[in-house]
Amino acid sequence: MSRIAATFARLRAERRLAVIAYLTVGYPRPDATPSLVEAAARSGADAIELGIPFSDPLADGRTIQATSQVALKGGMTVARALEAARAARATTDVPLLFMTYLNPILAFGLERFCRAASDAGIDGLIVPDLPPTESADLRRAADATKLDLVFFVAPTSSEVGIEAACRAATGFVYGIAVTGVTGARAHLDEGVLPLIASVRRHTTLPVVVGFGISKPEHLAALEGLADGVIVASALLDAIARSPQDPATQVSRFLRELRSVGPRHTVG
Amino acid sequence: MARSATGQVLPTHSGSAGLDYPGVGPEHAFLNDQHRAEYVSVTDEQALAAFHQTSRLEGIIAALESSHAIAHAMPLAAELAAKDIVLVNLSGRGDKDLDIVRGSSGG
Repeated sequence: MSRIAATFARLRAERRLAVIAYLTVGYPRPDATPSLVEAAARSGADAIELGIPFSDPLADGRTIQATSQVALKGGMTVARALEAARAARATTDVPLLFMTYLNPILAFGLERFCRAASDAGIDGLIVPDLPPTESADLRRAADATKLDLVFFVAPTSSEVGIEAACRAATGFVYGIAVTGVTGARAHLDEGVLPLIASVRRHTTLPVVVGFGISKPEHLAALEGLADGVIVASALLDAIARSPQDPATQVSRFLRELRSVGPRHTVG
Repeated sequence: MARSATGQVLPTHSGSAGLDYPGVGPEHAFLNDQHRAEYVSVTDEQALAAFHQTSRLEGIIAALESSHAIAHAMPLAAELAAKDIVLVNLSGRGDKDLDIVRGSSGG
């Protein structure tokens, strides 16, 4: 069983929502990532998504665009992100996933990237600009190196599109909670509940909700409905507020996120 | 795609807004790889000169994008025989570009 599958199986048995923390590799400093992974894992993150920065992150909002620019200016590349992942893996056993766009992967070499990621201790890949219909090559390379490959579904996805994403995905299915790009938001879109229901009709894989997740109330609203949440921009915003001590910011933010407040409904 | 060795998209510049983009479509990439089409480049200055010349000589205000094609076609036509036929696709109109042309040519 993959590290990702084992984690979701354990959390399902505990009836707990998985919290996946997103960190841009090389933000706020080129060497910051391993210590932030360690801090996140110690502060309640059940898995960590490591974003390899890309110049044109089409699925991402202002926060991740800005952190990506900082990381790129600091010299972050796929090769350095692999080193950071290896160092991060030495600090924790939680699942680690790479999130990046297809262009840096293709420039590095599809199979070489998967091999190196797997060797560095990465468990899965999330590639927002790769549609399931174009994913055969990466799927082969990912399978050969025991990496899960996650696909997205959105409130705007057709039933056919949802079915294709569910069939193509391994590890979990990434449900986009809003119509738009990443970025912290006050309220979740009510389209997320029918989306989760639709995914459940096509797969037994865990469904993880991301985009806009920023508060304990969001977690409470998804408890028992989704299998997990991904928190990205809100966590990076917290780092940006105090970049001198990012590890403390990561720990505090994740602990507060886990403190379950009054139960809110989605909408 | 205009990209760095590590796969990052490179910044671009063109005086023509429609060409100020780092990528080309898959059809063009395929035609290029098949050697069925040849792709060339034209400078902002050459395109502007072709824009003015087409306006003066033909009374046609061609889009700056299309003016690139004219800038390449004129010297090409000069090398060909009189009976040869050259087809230039004026894919858009240049009245949308007048502000850019004014800014670049001083009026």
